[in-house]
Amino acid sequence: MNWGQWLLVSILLSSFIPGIIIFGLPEEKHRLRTVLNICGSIAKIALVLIMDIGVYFGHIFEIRLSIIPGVELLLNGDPLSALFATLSSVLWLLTTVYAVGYLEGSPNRSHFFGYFSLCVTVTIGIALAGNLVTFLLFYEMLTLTTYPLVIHRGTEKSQRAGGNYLIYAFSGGAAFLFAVVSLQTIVGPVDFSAAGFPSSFIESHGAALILIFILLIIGVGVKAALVPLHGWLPQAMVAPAPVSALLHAVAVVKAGAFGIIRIVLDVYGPQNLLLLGVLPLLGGVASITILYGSIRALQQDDLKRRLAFSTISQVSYIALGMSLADQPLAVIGGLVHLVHQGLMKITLFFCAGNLAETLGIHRISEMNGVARRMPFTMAAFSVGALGMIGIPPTVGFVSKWYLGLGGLAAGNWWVVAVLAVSSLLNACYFLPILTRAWFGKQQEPWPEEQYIGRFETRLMLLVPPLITAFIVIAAGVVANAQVSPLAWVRFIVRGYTL
Amino acid sequence: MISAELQAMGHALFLSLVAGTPLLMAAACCTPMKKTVVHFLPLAAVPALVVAMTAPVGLVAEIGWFFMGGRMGLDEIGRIFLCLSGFIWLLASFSSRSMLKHNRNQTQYLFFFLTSMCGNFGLILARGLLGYYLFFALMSFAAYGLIIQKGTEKARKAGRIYLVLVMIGEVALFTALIILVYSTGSLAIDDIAGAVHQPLVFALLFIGFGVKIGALPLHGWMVPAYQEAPIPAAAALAGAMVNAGILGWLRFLPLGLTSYPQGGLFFIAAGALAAVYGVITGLYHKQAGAVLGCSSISQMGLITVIFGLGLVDHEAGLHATPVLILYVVHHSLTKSSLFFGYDLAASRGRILSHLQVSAILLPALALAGLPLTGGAIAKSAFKQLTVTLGEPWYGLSTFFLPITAMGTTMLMLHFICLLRDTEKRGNSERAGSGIIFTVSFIATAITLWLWPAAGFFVSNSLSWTKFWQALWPVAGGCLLFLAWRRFFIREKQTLDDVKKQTIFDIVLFRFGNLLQEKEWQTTQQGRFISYLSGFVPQLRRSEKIMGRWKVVGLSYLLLCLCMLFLLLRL
Repeated sequence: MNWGQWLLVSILLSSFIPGIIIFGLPEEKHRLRTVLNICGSIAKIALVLIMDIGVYFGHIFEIRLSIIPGVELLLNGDPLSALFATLSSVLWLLTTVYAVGYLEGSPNRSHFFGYFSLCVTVTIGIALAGNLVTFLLFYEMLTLTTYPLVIHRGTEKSQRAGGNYLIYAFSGGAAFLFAVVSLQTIVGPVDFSAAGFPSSFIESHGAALILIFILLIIGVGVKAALVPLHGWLPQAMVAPAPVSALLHAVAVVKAGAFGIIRIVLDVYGPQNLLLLGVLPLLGGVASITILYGSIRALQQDDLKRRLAFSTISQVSYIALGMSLADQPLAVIGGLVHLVHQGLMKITLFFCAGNLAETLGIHRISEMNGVARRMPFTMAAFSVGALGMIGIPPTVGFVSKWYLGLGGLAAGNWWVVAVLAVSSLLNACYFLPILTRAWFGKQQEPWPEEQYIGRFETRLMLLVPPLITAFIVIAAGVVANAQVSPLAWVRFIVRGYTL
Repeated sequence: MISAELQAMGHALFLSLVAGTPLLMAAACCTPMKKTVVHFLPLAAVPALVVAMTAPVGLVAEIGWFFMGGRMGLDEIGRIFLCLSGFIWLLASFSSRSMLKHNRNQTQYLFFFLTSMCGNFGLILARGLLGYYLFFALMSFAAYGLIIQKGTEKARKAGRIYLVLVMIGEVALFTALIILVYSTGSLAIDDIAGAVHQPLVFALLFIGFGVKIGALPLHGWMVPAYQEAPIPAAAALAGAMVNAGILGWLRFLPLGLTSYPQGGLFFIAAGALAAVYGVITGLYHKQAGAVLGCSSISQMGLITVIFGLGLVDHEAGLHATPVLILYVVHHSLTKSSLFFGYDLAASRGRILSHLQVSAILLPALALAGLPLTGGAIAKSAFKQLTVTLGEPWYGLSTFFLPITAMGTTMLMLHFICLLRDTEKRGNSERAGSGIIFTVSFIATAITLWLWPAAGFFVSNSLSWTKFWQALWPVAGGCLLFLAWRRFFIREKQTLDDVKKQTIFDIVLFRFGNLLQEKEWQTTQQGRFISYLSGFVPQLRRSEKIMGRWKVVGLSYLLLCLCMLFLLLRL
């Protein structure tokens, strides 16, 4: 094995080993567990950064393991996997810090952090997967590792949500499995690096390939919460706030969206999809999801539920960008939103968690004047919310801008219309929260005020959202710089001949 | 080579200070340094004035990494706007400083005041589309914090209307920009000059910037906002921030390079309507700030008319630009000095003296175009423009201008009457409000006379015919006002009472909450909304159906069928 292969393995192990150790740790070894977690995630960030630099300079990272003839496991570090891996590992560190602060004193923490680490290992596996089979393997494992996190509270409600999640996820998984097998039978092994199978198959197997595409999208669409496959996501918000942050911004929903990207760009390839004519279908589903999610978000009074529907809507921007796969600008918009949405949404969930943990606030109607009590939390929340609306200079604007330009370049005016309406709807459900929190007057005491100390809440809960909110603005302001999510996405898109 | 780079960096830094100083101070007011910030508040506007006075025209600085390509620069129009805005913000800062000494809620006001200032200066210097949009958005959203500063129910409502309209404007602007950038392939403002052809972009730009200047269907925020915002903030809104809309039009539809007759007609029609509408509604308001808001709608209407005339063809555009700028300068100085006069009246513990009333009367009647004031110069410039353009514009203006002048006279007299009844804020006399008013009064009185670019119009306004043409509408307005006071005024009915529910309460903003609030269902509007939103329960139902086992089973069946099909094909 060369150093590149060792690197890939150690990226996976840097969260897997702490996870396994943590399972074995007794509950009260609080400090050791935290040290393990933090060291693991810092090591992972460092390793991923090394991989990023290697990828940038054209080094090839690859591990192949043949299971049976024709089926091999392939780990591969390409620019796209570097993007997702970097996002996941950075946000994992912040989420870990947050989770340590959030779960202080609650039961079953070893259990929780063990699965937490495994979950990130699997997510990184998804990022590094180099062919459909490997992707499928990690994708199914993701369901198994996130389920215990969803039902962590152990209440009846969370059991039900967890059950629903399993049903949805495995149904999608079944469709995905079948599609992968069928595709493999038709076009042979599908490596992502090939960027699409030869277009000669389209003439011979057109109808089947269309059907397989639909099944694949259904498979990943469950996790990406495309309407009508989104039902599990709003229910899963019963999970603790760090888990919601993980589900919405780092792991599950993102894995689904990442799957869509892989299928469109690497499995089929934009040219083949244009020939098959299925991209408008994806665009339609994405647009409906964007609008439907926003309209449903409007009706929620529960803060986390509103955020959940907002995720449904926002993640579909990625799908929308992919549905215009022949337009580089739209692809840039979609890819960069993978990062941008993660940053914004994790900020919002951190803040929602702070409100719930510190003041017992779960509903928007209880938020009157809360910014006077928790100014920093609400400042971070405001940045995230304004980003979601797409106000410059936040990152949300950058995504929207590229998606809109891509839509126009493709001659699809409706894309701009969808973006405009979605911005308005986002404003309709985020701005009232902000005005309520900043300018409303507190009418009754906070439901369960727990912590009154030097800062507005525990420092470990306060710092992560402040960091992500800062990145939300900074990554927007320096979008054009040499090092920024946008710059990396441009680097990715240069690798494809669109 | 290195010295050139250093020089470029120096320029960038020099220009960045204009918007950077207020922004840094806004950041500082969230720290314990708040007291210092209050003390040095007027300093925030100083770099803008320094740059406007000293920087050479054509100075451009590129900051490539900033927000998808930052480009700043100062051109001739930018210099005038920067000078004007810098001056008004400076006075507003002094005024705010004395206000904040008696105010507990300092941080909020300071923060939003300084960020609006940053946005306003930044957009003047922006030479890129995105830069303009960025600072425009910053200013628009920050101004919301100023409007609802008082925290009363009324202020909150004013803020709500404002926020809805700002959001609509933002989205319209976003769409317009994206289409512009797509069709020109450039992000620089200079490159899109004259590139606007599509009616859609025209309409979107009209909406996007029209919100800011209170163009007719989008004027709803202006009156309540001017009424509810603290007076120094209202002065900045009315004197400096509205101009961002005009500057936006000048930047994106540069007169002389754009010609679009139909669009011009639309601007003229909307502007003329606003000019009349503002005056008529203003007479029914009973609060001085609201009256000034109505007057702004009306005056901005006149400016919109000038802009529309400039859009008729290229030639007209070249003639219209100086007139437009003259009018903007005149309006901004006059309107802000009226607000500072209002501040004087509101902050004094006693009734205004006759001298003070007549001092406020001067800018008030200048707005109507009283001879020998800046207003007369601006009006004569307007008239001169229509003479240049020929018929039918000249004929129309001979009717239109006297009517609006009469209306404005009535409105301003109404304002002066209201000033005397303004409720006093405590007994303490606010330091400096007299000086601030005096400074702005002097600026209003002399600027247009001394301004080199206005030279031709100045001498033009001094002929006897012009003198008479300017005088009789004002005199007629005075008589009409006396008659109106005598016969028509009724104490009870004012627009403040009638307009309890504005349309914006109903539509859009509270849409989401509406669906849950039961009490809305009982009102007429609520029923209408719930009728409209009948699809919402259906959404909920469909959500439930999707979750049912039957559906899951059916989906499985479908899935199996698909798989069967695939197997057969393989």
